[in-house]
This record gives sequence, structure tokens and C-alpha cells, in this order.
Amino acid sequence: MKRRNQALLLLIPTFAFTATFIYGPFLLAFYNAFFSWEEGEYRIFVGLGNFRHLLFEDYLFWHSMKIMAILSVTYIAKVMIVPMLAAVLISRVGNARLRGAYRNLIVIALIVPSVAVYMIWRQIYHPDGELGLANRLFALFGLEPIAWFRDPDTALLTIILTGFPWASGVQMLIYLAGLQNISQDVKEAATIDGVGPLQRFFRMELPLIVGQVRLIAILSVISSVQDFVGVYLLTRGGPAGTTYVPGLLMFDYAIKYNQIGMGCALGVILFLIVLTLTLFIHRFVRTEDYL
Amino acid sequence: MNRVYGALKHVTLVLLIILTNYPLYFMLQTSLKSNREMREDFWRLPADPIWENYAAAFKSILFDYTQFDWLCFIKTGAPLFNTMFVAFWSVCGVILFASLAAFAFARYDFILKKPLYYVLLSLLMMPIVLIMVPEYVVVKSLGLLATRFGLILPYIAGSQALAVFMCRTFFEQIPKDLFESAEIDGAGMLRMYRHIAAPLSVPVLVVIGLLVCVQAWNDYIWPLVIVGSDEALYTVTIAMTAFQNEYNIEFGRLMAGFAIGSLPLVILILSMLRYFIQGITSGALKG
Repeated sequence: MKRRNQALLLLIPTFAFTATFIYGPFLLAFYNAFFSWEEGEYRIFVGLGNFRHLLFEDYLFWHSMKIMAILSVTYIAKVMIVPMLAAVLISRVGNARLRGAYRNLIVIALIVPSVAVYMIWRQIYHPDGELGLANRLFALFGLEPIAWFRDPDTALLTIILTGFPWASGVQMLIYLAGLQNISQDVKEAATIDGVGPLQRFFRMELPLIVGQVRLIAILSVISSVQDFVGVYLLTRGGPAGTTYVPGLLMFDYAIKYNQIGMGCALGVILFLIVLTLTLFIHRFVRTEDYL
Repeated sequence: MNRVYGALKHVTLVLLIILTNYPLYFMLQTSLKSNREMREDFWRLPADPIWENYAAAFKSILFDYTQFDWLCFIKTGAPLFNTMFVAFWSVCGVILFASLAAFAFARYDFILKKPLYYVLLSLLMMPIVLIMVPEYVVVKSLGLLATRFGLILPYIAGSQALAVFMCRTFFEQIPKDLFESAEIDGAGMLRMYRHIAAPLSVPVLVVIGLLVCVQAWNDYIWPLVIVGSDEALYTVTIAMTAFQNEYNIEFGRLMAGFAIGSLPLVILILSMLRYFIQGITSGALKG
């Protein structure tokens, strides 16, 4: 390879953009977290004041952390189980044409923008007994309509149920790619030994796609801790704060109430959570253990 | 036993597919109904489809063609125009800058090469939530709040890491002889980039462009923060949600609006479904 320091020039645009809009903000987040913006445009150094407020005085913070934990655990369960089931079943379909058709029919749901999907689900859970799909289904079984998102008792559950049956295309494709990489020899050996379908999954397929499982675990931990688009579009954290998540709290602090420092402090806390969980998964779900 | 299992496999898959796609069907059939018909005949396709729902939604979400005027269209910007503008320039920026950087990483050796590459790759692990607030402050202090460039420039920055990574892998697979013979002929760095590396890597550039385009089209929170206060700069997703408050009573129109807002992206992805599936799996399997 040629040694040419002029090649550095080609990196200038990339690094100029990322420095301005990513590295800079990244460092600024840690810096700003120690300041308060509450008095107009000037910032005042408050030391660990923002963190102290969030951790010890802000009732909403711990409340939203609890909601986040519930939503994260259920989200991870959802993206682990259903797409895996779909991928395993598809990979076992013998006919290649049919296999491709099944795959595409699941992926096709992916092409609708997520904002539209959330809006459709809002409609599905319409509180009116005659206009919402969920309530119409209830009526078929002679059940009373439920207010879903509007009722503090059911709002969180409704968010968890949104997206049923959670056969998310992206995760399904990642699993499928892993399953299709399993060598023909291994598959044949399993067939000859007469292994049953369940055993085949736990003894052969799962161990061989542990890399994919870990990747999806990390990606879904990262996104479930920080994501608040769904909650924002479905309930805005309501009713009565029963679906409030930390990401939304950060958004409200920074954008709505203009308390940039508090928003940054909350961002730093979320960053530390994501970092810890990611390192944890890296350490404890090891690919090598299965090989 | 085996036959039962075989049948169960197909039944489960078909059921999964139906349930996964049911919201789509629900959206489409509702979009052609009036509220009265919805109450009376919920499950079936509309007896008398109301196509006006689409016309009304089209005006609010994409652009108001009854007041069509090129100058006004560009100046105040209809949501469709805004989103296309943002997506287009983001795609151009990502493809151009990322492929230049990837070319340098793939072809040359220079000081600090390794550390620079790892610094760039570390971006893939950076949670957006941490930088959202300070990035908003940066955009604001650059005077880009409530402008389309407040969306475009951060999008370009945000996709650099993944795009450089994908491009570099691709460039390294191009036979070295091509570059060596070009070098003997006296071609410089930029010439080799333009005439050899770029034309030969169109497939990977298409995948990157598609990913960036989908991301720019679907994004909701960032546009809400940056242009949410200025109706003239609404993107399609913002217009879609704003539309909901406007037509809270007529669900047919609402659903027609969501269908229309999704349509351009649906067409784009369907026409490149093969690339799209490739892009997801190749991009995702890096880790």
C-alpha cells in the first residue's frame, strides 16, 4: 500500500461533519451537564446539581426509569422470540420459492414508515366502541369496550401490545442470514440422526446463531433505553404520566422547558446505562462458549 | 407426527404474515370509508369507496395542488418537497464524503490511519440520546434552527461511520492492478477515485443511499425539534401527525393521509427490495 499523507485531505469532509455534529456534541453533553440554564440565556455552574436533582428530587425520573425497565424487558422479549420463530420456520421451508415468498411477505410490512405504523395502531386502539379495531374484536366476544391508551390502568399494557405479533422484519432478516449460513453438512447430520424439530432448534440452530442473538440483544437494549418516538406518538407519556420514559423526560426538559443542562445530565445517565448494559452483554453472552 | 409438524409450520407462518400485515389492510380499507360506514360495516371492504379522502389528504400532506405555483412551492415548501429536498442532499452528502474517506482508508497508508479509523468506527456505538440535546444547541448556535440544513447536515454526519465502513470493505475488493496501472499512467488520487473506485462501487453506493433516504424519510423526533415550529418547513412525517389533529373526526381521511405519506417510500423500497434486504443484513452483520 502506498504511503501518501495527502490522502488525509480526503478525510477532511467526513471529520469536519462528525466533529461538528457528533464528537462536539458528545463532549458538550458531559460539559453542559454541570451547568444550569434556568436563568435566561446565561449558564451557571452548578456542579453535580443537575444529577442530584434528577436522582434525589425528581419524582418523574425514577418513575420513568421504572417504565423504561418494563418496556425494555418486554421489547427485548418480543424481538428475541417472534422474529426468531419466523426465521427458524422460514429457514426450514423446503421449497426455495415458497421460502422467498414467506420472507418477502414479512419484510413487506417494514416499508411503511414507522410514524404511519404508530398512527395506525393509535387508530386500532381507538377508545370508541365502534371505531377501533381492538374494541370491535372485543365486541365479537361480547366484551365491553376499553379505553386503551386513555385509561391510566391499561395505557402501559396497550403500548406493550402495540405492534402485535411483533414479527419485525429487520430482526427476522438478521436471524435468517445466520440460519442460512449454517453449513449443509451440519443440517444433514441432524436429519440423519433423526433429531426432532425442537431439539434441532436448541441443539443445532440456536448455538450456531448466538452471534446474531447477541447482536440483536445489544441493538435492542440500546434502542429500548433511548427510544421514545413510540411513546411520544402514542400517548405523549400520559395519561397521568403512566407511560413516561426517560428519553421523553430529557426531550421535555431540553426542548420544552429549555433546561439544556438538565437534559444533558439525563442524557449522560442514559448513556452510562446503555454502556453498562452493552458491556454486560458482551461479557456474558459469548460466542466462543458455544463453539 | 412429522406431517403434523410440517402443516403446523405453514399454518404458523401464514398466520404470522396475516397478523403482521393486517394493520396495512385496515389502513387501506378504512381510508375509503366514511365514519358512518365504518360504524356500520367495520370488517368488509367499502361498498362505495370515497376517493375524495385521498384528494383531501394529498393536499394537506404532500402539497396543495389547487394553489400550485412554482415560486411559492419552493419558497414555502410543501411537506413532500421538504422531505425530498432533505433526503436528496443527505444522500448526496453521505455518498460523496463517505466514499472519499473510505477511498483514502482503503487505498493509502498515512499517519494516524489506524487511530482515525477506530475513532470513526466508535461512532457506530454512540447512543443518539446522549448527543440529541447538545446537537440541538450546536444547530441553534450555527443559526440553523428552523432551516432544512439543520436536518441535512446532522444527517450527513450521522451516517458517515456506517457508510465509510461499508464503502471501505467494498473498495478493498476492487482488484489492485486496476489502480496500479492507472498510477503508471500518471493518474492522481482524485482521478482514480472518480474513474475507477466510484464507478465500480455503484451497488454499495445504492444500498447506502437507500438506507440514508429511508432514515431521512422516516425520522420524526429530529425534524420535530428542528422545524416543528415552522409550518412551511414541515416534513412528511410531521405533516402526517399534524394532520391527525386537523381531521380528528374523519378517520377515512386520516388513513388516506397515512397511506399517501408512506407511498413514495413504499415505491422506492419495492423497486429496490433486493438491495434493501441486502443492505439491512450486510449493514447489520458488521458486529
